[in-house]
Amino acid sequence: MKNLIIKKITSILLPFMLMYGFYVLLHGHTSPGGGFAGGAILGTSLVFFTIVFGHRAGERFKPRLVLMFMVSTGALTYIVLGLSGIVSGGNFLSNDNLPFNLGLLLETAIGLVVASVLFSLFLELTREE
Amino acid sequence: MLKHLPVFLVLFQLITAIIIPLIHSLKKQLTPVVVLSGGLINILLSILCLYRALEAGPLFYYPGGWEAHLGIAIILDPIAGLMVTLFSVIFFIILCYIVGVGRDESWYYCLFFLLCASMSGIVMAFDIFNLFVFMEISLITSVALIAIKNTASAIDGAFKYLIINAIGSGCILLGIGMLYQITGFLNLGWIASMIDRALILYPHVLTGVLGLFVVGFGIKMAIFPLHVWLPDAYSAAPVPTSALLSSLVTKIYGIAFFRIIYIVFFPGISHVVPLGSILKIMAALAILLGSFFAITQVDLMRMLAYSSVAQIGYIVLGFSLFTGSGLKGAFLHIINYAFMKSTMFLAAGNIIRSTGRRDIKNLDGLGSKMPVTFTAFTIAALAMIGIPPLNGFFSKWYLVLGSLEANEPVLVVIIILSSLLNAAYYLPVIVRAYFYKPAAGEEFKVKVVEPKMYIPVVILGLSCILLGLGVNWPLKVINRSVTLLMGG
Repeated sequence: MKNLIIKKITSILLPFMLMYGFYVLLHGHTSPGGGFAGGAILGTSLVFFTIVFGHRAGERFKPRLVLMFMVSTGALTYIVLGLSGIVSGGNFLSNDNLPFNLGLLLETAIGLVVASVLFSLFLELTREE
Repeated sequence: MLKHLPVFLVLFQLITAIIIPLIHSLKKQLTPVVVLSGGLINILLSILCLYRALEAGPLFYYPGGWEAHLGIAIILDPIAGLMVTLFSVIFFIILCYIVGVGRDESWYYCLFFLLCASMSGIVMAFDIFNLFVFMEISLITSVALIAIKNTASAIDGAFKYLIINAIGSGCILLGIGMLYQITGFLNLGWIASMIDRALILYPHVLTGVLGLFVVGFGIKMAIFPLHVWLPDAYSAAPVPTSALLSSLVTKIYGIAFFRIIYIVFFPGISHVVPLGSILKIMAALAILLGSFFAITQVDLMRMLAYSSVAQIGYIVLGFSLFTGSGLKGAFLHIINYAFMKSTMFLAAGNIIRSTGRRDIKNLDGLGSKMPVTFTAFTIAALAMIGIPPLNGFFSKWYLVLGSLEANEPVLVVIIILSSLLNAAYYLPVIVRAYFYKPAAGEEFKVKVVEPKMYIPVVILGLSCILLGLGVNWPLKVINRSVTLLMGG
């Protein structure tokens, strides 16, 4: 898109969108929101960035490979965090004896997966052959 | 540590599914090694599950440590152990076949392991919402496994599969919601404890729930009038996909359905709805009409797909008899059918791959050209018809015994008649392949089938014979499962 107004407004808005995404993601543990909603907002802001500045700008970082690693890392993190419940003597995903806030970390893992899946779906669908 | 076994099994499959694409993108040569060793460890874990379930009886597991009425419940009983073991064995042999064919797609393996994880989740779920979540995972992965071939017919089949099965999922979700409304629980055990009160207070709601479940699971199982998605999807899908989907996935939905029926609804529901008769009629129709449709097919893969419609009828019939022998027959048929059908699909895949022909008419004289593959195909086909020393005979035998116990002589006639119909569509293929000469100008240009492609087929074919001769071993586990379902 070549429109100057859209580009300017996007570059002003983008940090706030990411900020709000992180807020929903991290605060979702105690208020409405959470990993899925926050991850969706983060992913959408990346989609927004790509629409406005074009695929070139988005593909500087070799996004497909990076995104695949991010999806896998997020899912594996979730599993490892769940297993920490077993290590601490409870059942899978139990947070009775854990020294850290399990829910918060789980939301982060979910958010990572959701954001990267959303963005990679967008990249796949709009890929220029 | 052994009490975490059910969750370890599913987690192992999930982790394998996640790391396969990673390893593929880092070092391509390692992918087959990781896939095959993953399959082997999967078998070991499943056998451990079965052993644990047989030794210590049903094991309940609550992720997160929440109690049964609040949280998720996972059960590891002989039924789950048996199904998980069966699935992992067939799964491993099919993985060997895929590696032999040499598919260079990490996503295909990833989806296979995801499907495996969802299947383990379905058989071990003791909580209907958890069951629903795993069913959705399996639906999405199955659709992707069909559409990955990326031909027009595969995408068409996958789309039909997705839309029709999504309607089924919707029905099941609505049923779960209604059941939750009137009982207040999602855990099967707790629902069962509230069901007598609900039967008196809300008989019509329960009838609705049952109708939604029958339609929803009926679509997923592809029982007769709801089977329309199956032939298109299975005949267009890649061969290993159709082998796995046909031999196990639809049957595991059946296990989930009848676990709900037996634990929650049976026997109180028979005062409200004649559930047994409805299911019996559907099963009988499926057995007869599925075979009739199969006879009219000219395409080998479509014939096998319609034969699946007929065979799921036997399994539903066995479960809906509500007698001990009927249940034994149903479980035994699930095991036997998994081996027979995966043999036939993989053999048909080899035939199509090396000759390029799908029409049954064009397979004249193939028996001498592809002796190994065709012998395995013949064994499985004879087992499917029910020739005595092979495994298919024993499951039909128990189904007949169950029908007699349930005082339903008509069903005996139907089972015997359908064996005749099975013969009517399998024997022509065999007779043509062995005794006909190819027409002039139609000689084969057969590509050589490599050993790594026919060895999985041979192993599956041999296990059809072994399961027939050693039918007592699966029956030991099945007897435990049957007492569990019948005795509550």
